[in-house]
Amino acid sequence: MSPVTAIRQTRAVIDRAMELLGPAVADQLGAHMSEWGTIAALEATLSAIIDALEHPAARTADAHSLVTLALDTEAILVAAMDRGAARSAQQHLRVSEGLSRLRGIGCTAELLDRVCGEVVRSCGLRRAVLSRIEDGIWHPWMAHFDGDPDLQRSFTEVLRGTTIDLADAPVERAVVEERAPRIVNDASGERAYGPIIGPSRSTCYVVAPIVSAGRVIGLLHADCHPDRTTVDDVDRDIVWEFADGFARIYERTELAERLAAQRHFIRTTFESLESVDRKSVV
Amino acid sequence: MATADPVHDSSRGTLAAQREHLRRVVEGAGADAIGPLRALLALDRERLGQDERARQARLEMRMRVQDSMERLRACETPKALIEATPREACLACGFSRAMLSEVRGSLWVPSAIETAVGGWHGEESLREYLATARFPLDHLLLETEMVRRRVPVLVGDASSDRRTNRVLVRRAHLTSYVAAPIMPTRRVIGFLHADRFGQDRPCDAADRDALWHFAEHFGLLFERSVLLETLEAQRVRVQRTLRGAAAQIDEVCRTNVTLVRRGPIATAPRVPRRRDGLSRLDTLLTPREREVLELLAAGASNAETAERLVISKGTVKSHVKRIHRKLRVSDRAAAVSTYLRILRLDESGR
Repeated sequence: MSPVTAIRQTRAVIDRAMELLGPAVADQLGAHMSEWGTIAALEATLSAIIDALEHPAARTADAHSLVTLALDTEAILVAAMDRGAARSAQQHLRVSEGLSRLRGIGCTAELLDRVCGEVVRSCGLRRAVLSRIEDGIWHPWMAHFDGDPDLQRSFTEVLRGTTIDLADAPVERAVVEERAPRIVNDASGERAYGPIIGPSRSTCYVVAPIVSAGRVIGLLHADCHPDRTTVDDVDRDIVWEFADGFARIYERTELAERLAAQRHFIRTTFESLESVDRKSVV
Repeated sequence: MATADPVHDSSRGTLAAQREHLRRVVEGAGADAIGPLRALLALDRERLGQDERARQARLEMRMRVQDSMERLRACETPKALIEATPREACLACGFSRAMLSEVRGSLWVPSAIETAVGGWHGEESLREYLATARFPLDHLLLETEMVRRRVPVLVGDASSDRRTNRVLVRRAHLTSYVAAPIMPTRRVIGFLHADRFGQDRPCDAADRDALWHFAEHFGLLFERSVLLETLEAQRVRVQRTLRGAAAQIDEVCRTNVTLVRRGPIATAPRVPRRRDGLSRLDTLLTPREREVLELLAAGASNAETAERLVISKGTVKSHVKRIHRKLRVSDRAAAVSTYLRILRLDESGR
């Protein structure tokens, strides 16, 4: 089943519950859906249907339709749990593969150029932004928007030269301080940093820290615009795992580059001695 | 990295059966469906709780691995890092014993172990045994499979599994264990083995995935440590060489002119320039000798060269001797210098 079909099914069953259970319950379920995601919303719906069955005086719907709806809701709930477990396992595998592709790259410049694309490819998301963190300042840096090169171009323009004091960006500051990832499911809300998030048209996203030697040196932002309107714990953990692996690969590649530079220097030193020798012959 | 859900596969089977049963009861219950529906909801919540706990456990494990890596990063040499690693693997993933081994050509050699088992008397003799143990990477062995397929393994019952090393199983009293390859690049350079000896449960798939996660991070950290050491060694060597050369040049300049008849100054062999794309080295050296010389030029010792090319130290020595003879030089530094000269000639000749 495609994610879109799954979301449609979930919507359909919750809409039907809202219709049968009345406006008060409907509001509650709506809030659950936007705040906690599919599984919690389905669980709350099932629970609300059972409550309604228990209190016949307070409802208008007949018991038979409610029981049928309860069974439908339950089936979709369990399917969502199965999907969640399968997705998590699958994504871990894909992150592992993605990181091993990055390990094969021998140069940091290429590593940086490719990391956002690789986040999208291996974390099952659509867009990723890489930022640097230097002395409490957030420098958004590179972006990869899958299938939307126009928006990517205009957004990259916005990024160019933008620096943000972490004191003005509560979400990112928390990620840097706690060295742990965060989910933002209400990107238009106060906590998200509007001047960056606005132009990206993101509605929800995850942020994970890139940690080296106990210090956060960068951030990975990722979302699934325009596929989904929520991100969940699985997305958060996956991006975090990716950021973690990337940090170590970057560190290693940077050292290997330094070693190569040193060798190059030694070689050119020998060569300059050689050229002295040649000049004297000529 | 994870495969099927680790911990709860068996209990999940029971839950699924109960759920099917309850759904049938609800379907047939009519107006009395409330009780079984509540039971059904409770069952689903139980499953949700299990999923959540397993996920939470994975997250906590990953944070502990992160902490371990931070502590290991403080190790100043690769050797110290190797020594400290098994203990950190136990701390991060909850094992009671862990062993780090190195893949050396067609051998597998234990390099450090940790045993955190209370009241176990076998520890001393196991340590003694492992200190000198060398295991061949035989056909059909699990470890050989790890080198080839680059994936971790979970052994449920070590004594009945034919792919395990019999001696090791007996000596270490292995029952169930997990093992993961260490491969900072695409090549497997070692393994981590771990078990829950003396604990109340056997190893499971979550343990295997945890150890793999640890091994992947350790591999990169180890390579970083080796790179740092190489960088430092190279720096020291270059400084020493240049200082020595400077002293010699001073000496030569200061010496007064006397009437002494010296032999001709030794010159490096001139290799005819070629335009066919082959290096001049190819006309002088065999491919193996070239590989050896390249490694020497990169600063590798005989032992390191032997390890990299999977040959013995004696073989490296005889290669080096032949290289000296062919390049008509008397020591390593001169061989490297000649090598660099020929490389330059190659480049300018093309």
